[in-house]
Amino acid sequence: MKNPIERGGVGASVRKKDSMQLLTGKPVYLDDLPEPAGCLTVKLLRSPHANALIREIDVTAAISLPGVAAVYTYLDVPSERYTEAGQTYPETSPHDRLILDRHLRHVGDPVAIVAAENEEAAEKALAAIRVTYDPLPAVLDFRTAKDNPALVHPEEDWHSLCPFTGGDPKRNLCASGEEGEGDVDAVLASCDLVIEHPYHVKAVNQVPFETFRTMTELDAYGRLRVVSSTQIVFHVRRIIAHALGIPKSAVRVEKPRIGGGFGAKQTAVSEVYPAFVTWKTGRPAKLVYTRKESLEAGSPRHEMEITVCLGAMNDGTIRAIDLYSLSNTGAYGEHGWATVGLTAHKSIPLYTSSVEAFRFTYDVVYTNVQSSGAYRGFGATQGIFAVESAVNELASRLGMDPLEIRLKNCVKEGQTMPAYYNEPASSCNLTGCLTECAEKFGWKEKYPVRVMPDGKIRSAGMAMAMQGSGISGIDVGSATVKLEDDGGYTLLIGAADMGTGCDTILAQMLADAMECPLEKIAVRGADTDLSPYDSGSYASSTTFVTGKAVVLAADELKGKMRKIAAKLLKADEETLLFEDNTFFTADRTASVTAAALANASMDGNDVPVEATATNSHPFSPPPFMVGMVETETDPGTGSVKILDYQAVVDCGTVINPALARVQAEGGIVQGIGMTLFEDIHYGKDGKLAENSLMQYKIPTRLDIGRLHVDFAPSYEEAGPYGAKSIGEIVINTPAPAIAHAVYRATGQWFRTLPITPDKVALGMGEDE
Amino acid sequence: MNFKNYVQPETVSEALSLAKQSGTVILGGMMWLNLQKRTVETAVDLSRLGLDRIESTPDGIRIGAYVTLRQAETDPTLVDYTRGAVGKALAPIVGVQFRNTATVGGSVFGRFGFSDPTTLFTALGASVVLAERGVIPMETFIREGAPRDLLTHILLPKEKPDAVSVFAQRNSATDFPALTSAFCLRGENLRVTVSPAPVRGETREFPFSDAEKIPEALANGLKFDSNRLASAAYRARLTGVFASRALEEMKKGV
Amino acid sequence: MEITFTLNGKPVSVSVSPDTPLLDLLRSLGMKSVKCGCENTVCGLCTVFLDEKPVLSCSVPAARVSGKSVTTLEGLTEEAEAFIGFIADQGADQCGFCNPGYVMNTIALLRENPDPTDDEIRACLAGNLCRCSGYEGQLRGIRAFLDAKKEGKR
Repeated sequence: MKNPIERGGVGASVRKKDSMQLLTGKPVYLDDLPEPAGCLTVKLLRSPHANALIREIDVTAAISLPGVAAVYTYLDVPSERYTEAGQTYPETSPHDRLILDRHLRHVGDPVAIVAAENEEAAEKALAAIRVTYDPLPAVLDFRTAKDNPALVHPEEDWHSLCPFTGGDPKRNLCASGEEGEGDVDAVLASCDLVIEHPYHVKAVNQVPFETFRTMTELDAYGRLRVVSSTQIVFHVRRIIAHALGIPKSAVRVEKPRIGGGFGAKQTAVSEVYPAFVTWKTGRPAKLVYTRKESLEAGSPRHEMEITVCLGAMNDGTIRAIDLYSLSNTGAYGEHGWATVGLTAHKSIPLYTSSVEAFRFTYDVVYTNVQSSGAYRGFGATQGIFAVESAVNELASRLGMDPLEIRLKNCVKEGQTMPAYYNEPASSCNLTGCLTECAEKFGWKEKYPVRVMPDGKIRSAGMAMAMQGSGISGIDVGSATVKLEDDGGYTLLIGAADMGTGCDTILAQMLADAMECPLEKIAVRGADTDLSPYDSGSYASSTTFVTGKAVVLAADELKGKMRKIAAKLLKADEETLLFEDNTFFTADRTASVTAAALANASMDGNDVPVEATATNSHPFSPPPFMVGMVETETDPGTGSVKILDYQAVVDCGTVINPALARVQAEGGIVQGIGMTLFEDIHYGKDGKLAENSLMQYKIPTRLDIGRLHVDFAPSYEEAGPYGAKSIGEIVINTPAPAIAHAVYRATGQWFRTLPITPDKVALGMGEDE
Repeated sequence: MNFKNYVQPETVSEALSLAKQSGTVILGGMMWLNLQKRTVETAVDLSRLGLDRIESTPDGIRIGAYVTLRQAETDPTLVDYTRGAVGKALAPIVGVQFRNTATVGGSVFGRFGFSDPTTLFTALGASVVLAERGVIPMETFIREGAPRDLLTHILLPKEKPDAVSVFAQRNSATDFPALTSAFCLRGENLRVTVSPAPVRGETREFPFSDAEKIPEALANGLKFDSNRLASAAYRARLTGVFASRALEEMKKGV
Repeated sequence: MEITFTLNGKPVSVSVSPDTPLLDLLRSLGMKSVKCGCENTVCGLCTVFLDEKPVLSCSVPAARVSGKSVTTLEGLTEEAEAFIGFIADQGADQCGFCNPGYVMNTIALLRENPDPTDDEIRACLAGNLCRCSGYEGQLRGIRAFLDAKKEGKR
C-alpha cells in the first residue's frame, strides 16, 4: 500500500477516528463518564454586583443543611494570585485573581463554593448563604476605563510575570504598548488619501455546546486527578498547582472527548473550584457550568475598538497603516496582552508588498464585566475586520476594484514581514487565493450591485486574512510513538482534539511516515501523566507544531527499529530499506515486517521500540485566505441574507481535505453569526442581557447561505508534509466581507458589529 | 420553576377547578424549568382533556388548546382555510421538535407580543373559548387576559378568507420575531393584526379600497417600543413595509 | 411519583420528582446520548422521540411520559447507521456533542419523507444547532446517503 491516499495518509479525506462513536451518541464526554463513588456536586454562589466588596458573609446556616459537605469563602482560600489563562509559563497574563476574593469584580464573579451530596442540596446551600455587599462604582464602558478613578484592581498584590506587557492596575491597564517601523506620520502626510475610522467588535461568545466542566478526585497515590473539558491539560496542571499552592507533581490532568472549544477552553474557567474542594475534603467533586454561567462568567472574545489610519496613493498603493487597539479584558487579564497583539500582527502584514511604515499602539483595559479569553481568531478577527474594511473603503473612494487593490499590495512569498516580527513569508499563495476565489465566486458578475425585481439588492464583498501556525519560538509540540505487537503504532500526544480531528490528522501523518494503514494507528490524547509535553491546542498550533513532532518521532523510531531489523536480517543497518512498514535488505531477498519486528522486540531485546520527539519553531508561518460573499439586502426590512460564500485557503498542504473543509465552513459560520446577529448588551447594573441561547442567537442552518471552500496550497518547508494551520484563520473574513457587501447595497459603512436589520433599515451606518 | 405535584385531569371542569386554586400552574405543551426561579405546589398538564383536535363545525373551525403548533401548521383544513399562511407563520418557530410539543393554547394564553400563532388567529377573526367566561373575541382576550380561567379552544369564523398574508421579522432565522403581523381579507374587509414585541398585538380593520392609506395609518397609529431586538422606530417602519407587501400580495391574488 | 413507560422498546418503572425534565430522567437511566446544550428548548441537542415524534426532552416533564413510548438514539443505532457513515465521510460530526440530536431528527425526517430536498432537510433540522458548524457537511452527508440509496435501487 504505497499510495498515501489508500493507506489513509496525508491528503486522504478519511473519517475521524472517533466519528462513529460520536455519531451514535456513545458516552464519551465528561458528564457521561461514571462518577467516582461519593462524588460531590459543586456549585458557585455568584456576585449580583458588577463591583463590590463583601462586608459580611455567613455560611453557618448553609453548612448545617443536610447533604452539604463544605462551603468555602474568600477566608478559606490561598492568598497567592494567579491567572487562568492557558499560556506558556511565565504567562503574559497578569496574576490578578484568587480562587475566591473579597473584592467582586463582575456580575457572576464567584462569592462562595458549595459542595454537596447532590444538586438539590447544593442549590439549597447557595440560597442559605447570607452575604452583605458594599457596592462600589463600576467601570462598564471600556472607553472610559483608562485612568478612571474607579479601579478594578486596587489590590497591592497584583503582579505580572512579564513587565514588558505594560500593565498598570492603578490606571486600569492590563497591558499597554507601542511598536512600529518607519516614520508613519511622515508617510501618512505624503499620502494622497488617508482613511481613518474606529471599528468596534463586541465580546461575542464561543458557545461550545458542552459547557465548562471538570471532575476531580484523589487517586490511589493521593494525587489530585483532574478530568476536564479543556484544550490545555499541561497548563491546567500548572494553574491548579499555583492556585492551590500545591506541587505540580501532585496533579494529573486528563481530557476526555470535548464538546467544542473554539478557544473558550484555553482558559481554566471551571477547573480550580472542584480541585479545591477535592483537595480540602479528599472527596471526588464535579462542577458542570450551566449555560447561563458559561455566558456570564466564561471567556469570550475581547471587545475591541480598533482605530485604523490607512494612507494610500491615488493609484491604490497602500503605504502606511497606523493602528490603535483599545481592548476590553474585563475583570481579569486572561489573554489580554496576547490577543491585542494579533490585531496588528495579523492584519498589517497582509500589505507587506507596499506598506513602508506602520505603527501599532494599544491599551488593554480592565472593566467590571466578565473576563475575556481566547476565541478562535484571537484578536486577528477584530484587527482584520478593521483593516480589511478600511481597504475596501479605500477601493471605493478611489473607484478601484477591491480585488485589484489587493493583488497590487498583498504580501508575496519570500518577502520579510516587518509587522510580523520580521518573519519571512516562507510559503504564501495569497495571490493565488485571490485569483482563484474571484474566478470560483464569479467576482466580475457578482460585484456589480443588482436590484432584483422584488426590490431586494444583491451585492458582493470581499476580504483577505492571515493567522499564524503556533506561537513563534514558544509553542512546543511533542509526540511519542510506540511500536505495538501487530506492527501497528500507538501515538501519544498532549494536543487536544476538541472536534477538530487532530487525533486523526496526526495519525495520518504517522501512517505516511511508517507507510502503514491508518487503522494500524491508535491515538491517545492529552493526559499529563502519559502524554509528552505539549503547550496544548490553541494558536493554530497542532497541525504545524505537533504534526512536525510526529514526523520527527517517527523518524527516530524508525532508526531504533532499524537496529533491531539489522540484527534480525543479519545485515548492516545502513543498507536496509524501509517500505510499506517493512525493512528489506538492499537486494530485497530478505525482509522483516514491523509486526515480526515487534515480536522480536519483546524477546531478548535492549532497544526501545518507542520514540519521543519535541518540536518548536522560531517562526509561525501564516496560512492565508480570501473570502467573497454575495448578499441580498432587503431595503425595507434591513435584513441581510447570505446567498453564497466562497473561500479559498492556503493552509499549506491539506492533510485531510474533508476535515479542512469543515473547519473552514465552521469558521465562516461563526464569522457570519458575529457579523449579523450575535450581540452583547450589558445593563447599567453590569448584567448581561444575552445570558441564555434564547437571547444569544448563534447561526442556524437557515442563516448561512451556501458555502464553498477551495484550497490554493503553498508548501511550507518547516511544516509536516508542507502543512500550515487552518483552525483559526477561517473566522476572519466574514465580518469585513459582509460589511463590504452591505456597503455596496446601502452606501453605508457599518463599523460596529453586529450589523442588525434595524441598523441597516434605519440607515444607522455611516455614509462614505 | 419547580413544582411538588403533577396532575393530569381527565375533564375540563376538573382542570378548571385546579386552575382556580392558588399555587397551581397550567403547563402549555412544554415547560421551561430554568427560566423562572419559583416553586409552585402543583403543575397541571392538559394532555388528557382531548383538546388535541382540529375540527370543522357548522360555525367554523374549532382548534383544541392542546393542538401542537406542528399539528396546526400541517393540518389540511387549516392550511386550506388560511391559504397556506399557517405554515408560513409557524414554520420559523424554533424547530420541528419544539413545534411538536408547544401548543396553540400555550402560545395564545401567554399573550406574548411575539406570538406568531396569536397574531395570525387574531387577524383571522378568532375567538377563544374559556372554560369559565365562555366565548370571547381574541382581541379582548389579548387585552384583558383571563387569569385562573382555562383556555379550551380557539374558534375561527366559518367564512374562509379571500386572502391571508403573514410577515414577521427575525434577526436570525429562528429567533423571536422583532415584529410579527397578519393580514386577512374577506370581501372588502381587511383585518390586520400587528404584534410589535414588547408591546402586545393590536388589530385594526380597514376597507380594502383604502389600501393606499393603510401602511401609513398602521405605522403611525400603533404603539411601538424598543427592546434588545429592535427599536420602536424600526418596528414602525416594518409595520408600514409589511402592510405594503401584504397589500401587494393581495392585489396580485385578488 | 411512580411512572411506567416504554424506553427503547422495553418497559421501565421509575420514581421521579414531578418537576424532573425527561432529559434528566433519561440521562439518569443511562441514555447518555441525550445531551443538554441550552437548557431551554432552542438547541435541539436533547431531541428524543415521544410516541414516535421528535420532541425536546429538556421541556417535557418526565411525569408526562407515563404510559407513553420514548426512544433515544441508543434504541435506534441500526437505523442511524444506515446514513451516519456518510456524515462521517464529510467530517461533519466534528466535536460530536450535537450529533445525537440531529441524527434523531434526521431519522424522524426520513421516516416521514424518505426523499427530502436539500431545503426540506435544512428546514427540518433548523432547530438542531451545531456550533462547530457542520451544517453544510451534514447536508452533504445526508444527500450522499439519499443518492447512494437511489443508486442502489436502480
